[in-house]
Amino acid sequence: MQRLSYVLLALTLGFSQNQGLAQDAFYSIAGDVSAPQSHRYPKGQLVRLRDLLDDAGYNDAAGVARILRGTPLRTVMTDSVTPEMTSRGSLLLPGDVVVFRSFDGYCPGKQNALAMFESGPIMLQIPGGGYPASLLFELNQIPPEGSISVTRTRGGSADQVNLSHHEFIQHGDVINLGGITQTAGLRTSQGYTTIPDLAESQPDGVPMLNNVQELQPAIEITAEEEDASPTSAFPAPPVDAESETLTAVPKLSPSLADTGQMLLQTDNTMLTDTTVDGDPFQTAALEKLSAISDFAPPAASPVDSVTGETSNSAWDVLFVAGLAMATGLIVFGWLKTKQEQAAIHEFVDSLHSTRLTGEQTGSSASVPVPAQTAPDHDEQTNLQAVEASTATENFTVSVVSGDCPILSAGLEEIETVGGQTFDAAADAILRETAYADDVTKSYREGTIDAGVLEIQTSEWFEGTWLHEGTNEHSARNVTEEEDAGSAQRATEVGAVTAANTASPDSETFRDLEELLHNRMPVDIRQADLPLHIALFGNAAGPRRLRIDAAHTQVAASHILTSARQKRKPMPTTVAASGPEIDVTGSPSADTAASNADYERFDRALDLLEGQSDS
Amino acid sequence: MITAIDFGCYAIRSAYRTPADQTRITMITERSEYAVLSNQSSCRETVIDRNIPCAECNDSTIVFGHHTEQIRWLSRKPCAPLFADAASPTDDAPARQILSILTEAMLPRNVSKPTDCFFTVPRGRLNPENVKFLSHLTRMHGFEPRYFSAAPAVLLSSGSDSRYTGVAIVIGAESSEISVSRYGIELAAETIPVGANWIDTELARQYEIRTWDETGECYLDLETVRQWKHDPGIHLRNSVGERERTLARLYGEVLNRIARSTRDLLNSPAVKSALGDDRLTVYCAGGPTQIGGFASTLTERFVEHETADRILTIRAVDDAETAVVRGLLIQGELEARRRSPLKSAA
Repeated sequence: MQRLSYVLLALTLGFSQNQGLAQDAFYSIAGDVSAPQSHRYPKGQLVRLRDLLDDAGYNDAAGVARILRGTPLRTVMTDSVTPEMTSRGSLLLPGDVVVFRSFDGYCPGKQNALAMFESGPIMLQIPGGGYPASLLFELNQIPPEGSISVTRTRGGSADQVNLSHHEFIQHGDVINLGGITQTAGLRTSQGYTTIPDLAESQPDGVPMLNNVQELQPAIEITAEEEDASPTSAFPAPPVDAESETLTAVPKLSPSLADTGQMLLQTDNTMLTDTTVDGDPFQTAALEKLSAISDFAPPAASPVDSVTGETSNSAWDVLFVAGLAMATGLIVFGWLKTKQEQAAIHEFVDSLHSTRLTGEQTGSSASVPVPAQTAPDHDEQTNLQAVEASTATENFTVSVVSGDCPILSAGLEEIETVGGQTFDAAADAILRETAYADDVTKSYREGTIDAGVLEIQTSEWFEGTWLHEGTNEHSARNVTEEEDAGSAQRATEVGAVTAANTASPDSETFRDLEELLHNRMPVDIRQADLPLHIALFGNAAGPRRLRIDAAHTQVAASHILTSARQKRKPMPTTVAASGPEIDVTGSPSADTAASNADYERFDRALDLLEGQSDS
Repeated sequence: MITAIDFGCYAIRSAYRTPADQTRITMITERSEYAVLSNQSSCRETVIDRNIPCAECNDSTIVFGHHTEQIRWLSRKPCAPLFADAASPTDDAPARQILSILTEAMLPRNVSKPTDCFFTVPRGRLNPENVKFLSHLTRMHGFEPRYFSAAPAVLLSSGSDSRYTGVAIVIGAESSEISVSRYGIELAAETIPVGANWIDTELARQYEIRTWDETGECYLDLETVRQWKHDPGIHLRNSVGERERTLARLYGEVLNRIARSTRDLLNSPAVKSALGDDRLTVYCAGGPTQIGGFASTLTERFVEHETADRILTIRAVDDAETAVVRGLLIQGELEARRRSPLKSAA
């Protein structure tokens, strides 16, 4: 019974802790602060940048704080932080990541980087030479030929870089690993889980950065547990003399530990050396390890029976045959795709030339799809993806307008698909959809006369709005204060426009790919509005929302009015009150108003009043 | 420089390549509304002391854009939309000028020859007058206006994994757009003049959520409704309380209309002949699609209208509020790339 009460108490405590965590919001900070970590605030509390910085040990250094948000992370705000700043900075949302970089580059704490997993952020302490990206590749089973997306911050700038296997993670980096939910050997939490640096990551002690950081191996078997376990009857494997722990996760390489360049290093040799054939405990550990990393467990000892070997060999033959068939299909598909892509390129080239001819001559032309192969192009992937799907269709193209979207290249009028004509379909589209609208279509095709649309700023602001029949005259001129940076901005835009025309096609198509897949970093900023301007005219205000105009006159008190109505008229004499007042006489303006007011009164109040009178 | 601007009844959003770094996008968002303050000197001094951009009219002080949130405590009068009833402010002179100021501030300064600026308008195809009006405005600031619909723009920005084939639904403040496209070509489209403002207005009307200004004028308090509606705990399928049930019912009405239009579009000859009975992905964008339970409620309506067998999946796009302007920018970049080889060949 006592044991049961302990269990219930533990469950209650665990539940209450989980409840407490669920009601908290986490904000992460990295960079040049003394306590880079995830900070917990009560849910609903407004947290601003300066609050988080102060909690993270801001050392009054001037710098730039970048606020990252969303999945994948992107910079949503960039705040300039100075010791003299009076405001508390931008408002943060739960889950935001702030990277603060001081202008002088001084980091009061340990150098750090942040790895963003889908399940939460992980803090990485960076030694002097950088943190090898290869470790993350191995821990997260990313193939060496792959890359990791990293937001690299330096001072006031941030770049999006793709780190390959052999590169290093640097201080202030934010590693986007959003697609990875679990890491081998790393345990993520709602806060940070810290990987301590190499000097601190020896097996005899893992220092905690704060109350939630922890590094635990995936499988760890201490000597005591081994003795107490039921498998102790099996021969004990040799234990590393330097430590009392047999760790089946990637072990630390002593040589790299000395260099201080790598935090964790997988050591296949060590694992192989410590493996004892036939040891079921260690075999199970290695199988678990292979499930979380790329290590292959050692081959099992040949103890299977003859029957088992026969059935296994039959399955093996079947498996190999299936594998060979699948490989053949893949190769066939690849060859076919290459051929189709070559045909598409040939077709696109001919299409462009035909379009040019059509535009020059003003006539339409039909381009048959050639079946020859053409050199492959690695660029223009997106265009290929669109056009590859139509490669098998036998279609002709009629160049109607040079203003259709690029995605419609070769698809304006597809002659046959499934036995139906697309010319008829296009006619139906024009009939049924609003694209038949002349104005819209003319705008799409750019055929509206530019002169008709000419309008000057003076007309817009001085009220000579003749296009819509509204003719207003302003009383004042605009006294807009010009922002100081406008001229500089204009110069920048002009320079960039010139640079754009000279950029190579490969770069532009790579940019387009980034844009299409929403991988391009976004700077969200506010418009630079003039501080004080003068406008003409009277503001209409929220006319649509108004449901009742203000009362022009407050009605008389219902007590007075009802009493006047209910009280019997008493004839008065001239002597008593001077000129006779006709209380019940012909309806005058006053009595009409009072009758109208009376109709509005609440009957319940009248009833109450009558009761009080009686 | 290619630019994109999405003129919406709730917000105006612009996007263009960052001038200093072409590998980044600059995105600017401003609320398309203005607040009218009384002409008391204390109000005006308060606004000026806080360095809040403002404008002076004949008898009042006006604050516009996102700065209206900073002075909401100064006036109990609701903000006025720049596009009242989704129409261009041709009869509201201050709104017209504010719109011009906002547009100028949100677009980059163009010193070279006019470059393309792709834009959307409130209620899209239903209102060609808006297209004409905003074309004037865009051209006035040195750009070549190019109108593009919101729904195809969403498909461009979010439909890469389905090869730009599918149904795009954009629910805005004053209208909803539905578009069916194949490989980026729009096959059929429809614009419904119902959006989130209708839901908010009905909710405020039914529950008498009102506010009174200093002179006693009574208004529907849509801002309070919006703030309540943005509570992340509100879920259309798990409504708690009478007001949430009403909200779910109003959403259901809008989605019912959208599902009916989608069914009609999918059964139109143009779509039938181009897509057959292929199952399509539905991309949903716009602020109102971010409410909890939106996808399942829309699925329910598709089932009711016997359209579910044509739907592969329903997706609320990742950047529901900025997908349109990003799609406009993509369209601009595609157009620029399409023209450049022709020019070089010529």
